[in-house]
Amino acid sequence: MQTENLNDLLIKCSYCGYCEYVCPIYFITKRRVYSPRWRVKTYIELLNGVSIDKQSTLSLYLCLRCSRCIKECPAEIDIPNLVLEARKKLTGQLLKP
Amino acid sequence: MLSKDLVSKLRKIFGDRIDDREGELKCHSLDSAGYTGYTYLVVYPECEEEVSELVKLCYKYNVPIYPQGGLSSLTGAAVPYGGIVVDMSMMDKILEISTEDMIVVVEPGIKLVDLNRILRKKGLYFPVDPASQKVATIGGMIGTGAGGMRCIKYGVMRDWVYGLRVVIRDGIVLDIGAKTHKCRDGYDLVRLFIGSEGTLGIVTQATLRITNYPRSRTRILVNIQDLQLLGDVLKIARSGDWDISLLETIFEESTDILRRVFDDVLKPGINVIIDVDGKSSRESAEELAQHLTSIGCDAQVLNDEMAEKVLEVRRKLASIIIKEGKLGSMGEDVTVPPSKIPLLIKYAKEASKKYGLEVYFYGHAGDGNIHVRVQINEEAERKKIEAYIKEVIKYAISLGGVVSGEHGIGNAKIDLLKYEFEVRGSPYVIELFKGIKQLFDPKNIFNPGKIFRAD
Repeated sequence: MQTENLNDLLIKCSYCGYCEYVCPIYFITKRRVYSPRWRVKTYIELLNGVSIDKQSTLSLYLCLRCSRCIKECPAEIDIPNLVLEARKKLTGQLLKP
Repeated sequence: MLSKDLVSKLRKIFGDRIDDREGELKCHSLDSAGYTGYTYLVVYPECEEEVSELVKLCYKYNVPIYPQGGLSSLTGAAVPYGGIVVDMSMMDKILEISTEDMIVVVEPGIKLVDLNRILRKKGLYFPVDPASQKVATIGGMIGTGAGGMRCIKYGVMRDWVYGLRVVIRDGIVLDIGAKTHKCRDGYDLVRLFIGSEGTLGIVTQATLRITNYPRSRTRILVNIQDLQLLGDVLKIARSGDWDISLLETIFEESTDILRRVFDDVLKPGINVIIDVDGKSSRESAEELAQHLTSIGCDAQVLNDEMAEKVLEVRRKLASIIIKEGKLGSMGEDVTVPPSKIPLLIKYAKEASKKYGLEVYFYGHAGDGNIHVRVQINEEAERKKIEAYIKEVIKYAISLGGVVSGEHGIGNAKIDLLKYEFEVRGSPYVIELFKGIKQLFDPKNIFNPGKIFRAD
């Protein structure tokens, strides 16, 4: 998926939480910060240049990218792909001199 | 900010189930309607004693408490503005299932879908069916007084809760209602808590009535071209001659948007999905379809495959509308007496043209609850949409309707609720609400600022 398309879809995330039910990480932790819906919001903050807190960063790396959330998302946001994009951005920030 | 003393006391109670990290606070401070607040601490109680201790301390330190379930509210009802968020997700156990008494006792954090998954294994189910069943928790459903698609037969949350355990001011635990089907123990405090949106206390346990999963269910799809005919369909379906458990209506614009995705399911026009239950549901459905055909409808009894498909399409409707809007969409849940639906829809459609908005109508016509969903195609439209929604709601009130059928008031409809009671000549009702709140929560710390504004 093109990043531009992904970004177009992000605005449609209503934080409904349908993705949460199928997320294995949320199932184990029961912490909303480790849920797919918060990962989407974190990615939006990342795109907007907001500095991301450690817990939300950890959430992006805890994602197993199992893709179960895609089927549940009403806006069909490709959250696993988004997580990958987010990780790239975070790695890029770390590598900056 | 919270005092260090309070936080330290809470840490002793909750151990690592207390969190003040930025991510945790932020993810508990917004809801799916776009309301955003802030909080200082999130706690995850595991039992009633912990909730009671928490409330006791919050009362002592004058700190607001915001209970949260699935955080899927569409009115800002669970969004915090300071204080402490109480995430109930760890109190999600089923404590008792009685097939003899047809009740289930649960903790409030259990999700509806999980409860029904377990009940279905025993041929039972809890029939209040909001579309958000995978997100909605029983505690949240009690708080909002949830409804859904099967209200025509099964009613709403208030019809299915027999008893509650609730923590109110100073950590006092109330055990109200009972496990019995009948209970006339003075004032009906159970119903007072249903729909109270966490403003009176925190529910820690609920005794729910359950029912048998229907032996057979047959689905009819009715296609009509005339809004007036819908009134006749509703009248016939509600006549009591058939055991109807679902009556969902998809109006023309919504049909069109669905046909763009699923071109082989619905015919253009107004589509009504009807479920007929009972021992011989197919015969009953055929009889009903024949009756509807005789008054000018195109009514078809569906086979299992098509029946599944049609309801799936209906469940996906809101999502598809949201997806098609350039910037998403805004929705409402006005409710009128079912016979007034054609009038409401006619008015709302004409108003949408006046405002120049793209609006979709669908919902639970069987119980008069219609969802009006307006597309947000550009940022500048938001104010216009709000004005449009207010106009539609005001018209619904003039028809004897209410501002909310199942979503609740939260932040979103405080002014409209006040307006509704003014129109009905009962502005004093809001004063009574304040008095009730004062009785249960004299310091106004339970989810303050929701349903009405404090003086």
